[in-house]
Amino acid sequence: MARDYDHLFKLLIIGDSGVGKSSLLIRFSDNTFSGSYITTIGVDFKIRTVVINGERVKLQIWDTAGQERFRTITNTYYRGTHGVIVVYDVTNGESFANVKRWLQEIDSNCEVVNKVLVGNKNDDPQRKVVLTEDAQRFAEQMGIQLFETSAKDNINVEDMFLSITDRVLRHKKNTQRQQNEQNDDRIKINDRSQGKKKRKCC
Amino acid sequence: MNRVNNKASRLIELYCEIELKSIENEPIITKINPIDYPDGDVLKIIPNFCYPYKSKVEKKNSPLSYSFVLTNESFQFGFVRKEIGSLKSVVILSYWPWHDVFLKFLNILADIRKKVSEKEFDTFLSSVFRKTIPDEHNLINLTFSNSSGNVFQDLIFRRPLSRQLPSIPENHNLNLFFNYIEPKTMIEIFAALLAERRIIFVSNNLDKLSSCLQASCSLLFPMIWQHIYIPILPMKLKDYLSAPMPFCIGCPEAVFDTVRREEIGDVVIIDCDRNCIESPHNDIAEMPQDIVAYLKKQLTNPSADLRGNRIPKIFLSSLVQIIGGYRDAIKYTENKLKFDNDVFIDSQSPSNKSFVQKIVQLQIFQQFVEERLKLIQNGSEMSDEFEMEVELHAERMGKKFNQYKEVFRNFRSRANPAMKNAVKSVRATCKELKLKIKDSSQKPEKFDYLGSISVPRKEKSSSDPFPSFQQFYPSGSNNLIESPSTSSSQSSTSDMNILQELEALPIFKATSSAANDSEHSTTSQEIIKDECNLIDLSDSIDSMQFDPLEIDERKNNINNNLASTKHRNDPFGSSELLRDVVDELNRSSTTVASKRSNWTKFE
Repeated sequence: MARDYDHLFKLLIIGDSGVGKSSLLIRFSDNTFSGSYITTIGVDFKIRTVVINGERVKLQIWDTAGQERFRTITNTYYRGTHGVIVVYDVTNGESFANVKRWLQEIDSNCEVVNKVLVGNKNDDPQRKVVLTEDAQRFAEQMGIQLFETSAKDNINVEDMFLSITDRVLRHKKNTQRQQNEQNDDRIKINDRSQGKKKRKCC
Repeated sequence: MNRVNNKASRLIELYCEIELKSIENEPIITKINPIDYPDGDVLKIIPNFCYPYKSKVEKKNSPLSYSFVLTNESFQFGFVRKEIGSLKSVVILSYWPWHDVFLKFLNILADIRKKVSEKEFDTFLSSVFRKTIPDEHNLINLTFSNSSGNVFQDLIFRRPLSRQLPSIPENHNLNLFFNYIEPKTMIEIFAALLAERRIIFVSNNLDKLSSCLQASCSLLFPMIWQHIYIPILPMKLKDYLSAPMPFCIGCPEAVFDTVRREEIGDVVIIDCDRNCIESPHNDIAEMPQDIVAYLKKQLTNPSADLRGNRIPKIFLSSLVQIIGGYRDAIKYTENKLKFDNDVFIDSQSPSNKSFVQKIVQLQIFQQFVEERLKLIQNGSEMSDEFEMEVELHAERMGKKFNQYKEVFRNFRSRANPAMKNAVKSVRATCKELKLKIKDSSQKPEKFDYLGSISVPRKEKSSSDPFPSFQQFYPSGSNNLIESPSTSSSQSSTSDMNILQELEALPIFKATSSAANDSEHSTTSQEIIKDECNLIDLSDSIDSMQFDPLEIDERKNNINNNLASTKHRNDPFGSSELLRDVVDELNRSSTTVASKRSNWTKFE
């Protein structure tokens, strides 16, 4: 069977329960009626295929239940994923404190370099407690992009997902290019340095 | 954090009957109690757990029962019973992980259901829903009386203890695990769990599948698997095998056969039916090899009885050796308890260090630490099997060192000044010699025991809120568990050589002649020799600690000897007794050496 995509990326969405992760996924996903298993098996994922520069990118976005019970999320959790979408609720300061801590603890040496920070429920200025400036400052500090979204009003959701997809795709291409260059180098020096792998943290 | 809800108020949450009308249809719920059960998502998925894949009526002699697990924040256990020769199943759902009780209860329910009216049956169920959960140790009584008041069926059981290690034959999951999984595979599973891998269990028997997975994860105690946990994966959910995060998933063979391997990526696959494991990683090689050897030895010892809680205890002991010292890395700063990963790593023996660096990166370890910090902060009781094992382990080590201290004290107080000086000088020489050897980098670790004579062991004050684990390990004895390749008897022979070497040194001769001036001359030399021997052999005991029973026996012998020493005033006599002790220890180290060569064969 021919593959229906050129790239398959697995992304994680993390954040306290109640910040609207599921709503964001439903907004984004191809099939809004596929039901959710997060309350029964503690994990759920949604799929969507997007086309970026003519290439079909299949995204699997994974969510797990009860992440707020973790003070830290350790690297083993991110192992095997291409990107992380970190969500807080702009009307809930504690949810921001949690993601700040988690983000700081994602090992900077980790292969998972693709992250995006998302302030969801950005649809009621009256209730907003996490100021854009604060979140923006933190995002810059971490070297990641901030998106303030509203899954309810469908604001910025599409842009956010496309942005992280684009990042992951670019990352993949850079890595491939580097590998090719290395391979070329190897051929030049008569292929003596075989087996020199890129260091991974996890 | 404990994922089992120990505060659930009801014994069971739901009873339902499910029927698969025909292979072409989807299984449906035909009866539920309570009727107003609120969780629609659960009701939607339960039929899939009863019929994870469609198959014809299985020809079995006895009804099939097994458990599945729903995980939201805390676990909910589903217990299924399939009737012989029919496509009907009964499920009860509970927050309590009392597999043995509920699997038995299902049989009783089936019997009652067959014999009484539906109304009577529902009345009984209602009474079960209303049951309050008594405190631990107390009895729970589920009695069904028919309309005329006669007891028809009853199940009386003691509320299972939440902090007890699972035990054979009481624990259903452990029984099956023990019956179907070979020790070598057990260790491999344990290693994969300790690396937080993506782990798939496969079997064509749902009971075996679910039990082996659940029992495997229970071996992590005091840590708790924090990731995706699906002991039975229905066909409908097979795409979840491509989850990128760590998981433990039980995949019925019929489901696994439909999976395209290239889609699931790097996974550890445990085939419970063929007793084999397939893994792209080499997790056993990452573990401290002395601990792997310990597990192998304990689990394959043909004369050992692995029933009772022996298997969980063996794995627990290995974890005590890795994470038992966690309390030493707890710091109190800014009115808060904090766990310092670096301190914890630094406190490890060289053989453990690289592995512990990985351990601190695990979610299961971080959650374990979080939970213990919370308990300490709240001043809660921490008396579980793990803490007890840590204490015992420390005590075992501490007791032994106290014994030696006692022996030396006896000698010192009895020997004359010349003898004391001799001991002092020999110590100084030992130290010098040790340094010399270190300088010339000639296997310095062999001489560590000499260092431990002169370095006074630091005792922590008893007011220390966290009794240290580390204090029981003298600086030189990182060979707490010695690598099985070095034989103790060999090392003691070489140590005798050192002693001879020592005797050849001018300083030794000088001190010996000083000692010769005294009336206790011969004894003092003997004692010096014995003392060196004893320290040497104390290390041999360290390395023997694989077999607590054997050590206990040896220790008893030594204790008896020491006890009689105390009753004698004659210092010469005590020296002879000490020699007995030494002989006794020598014998033990020979036993250990021969055992070691056996493990090497095993390996």
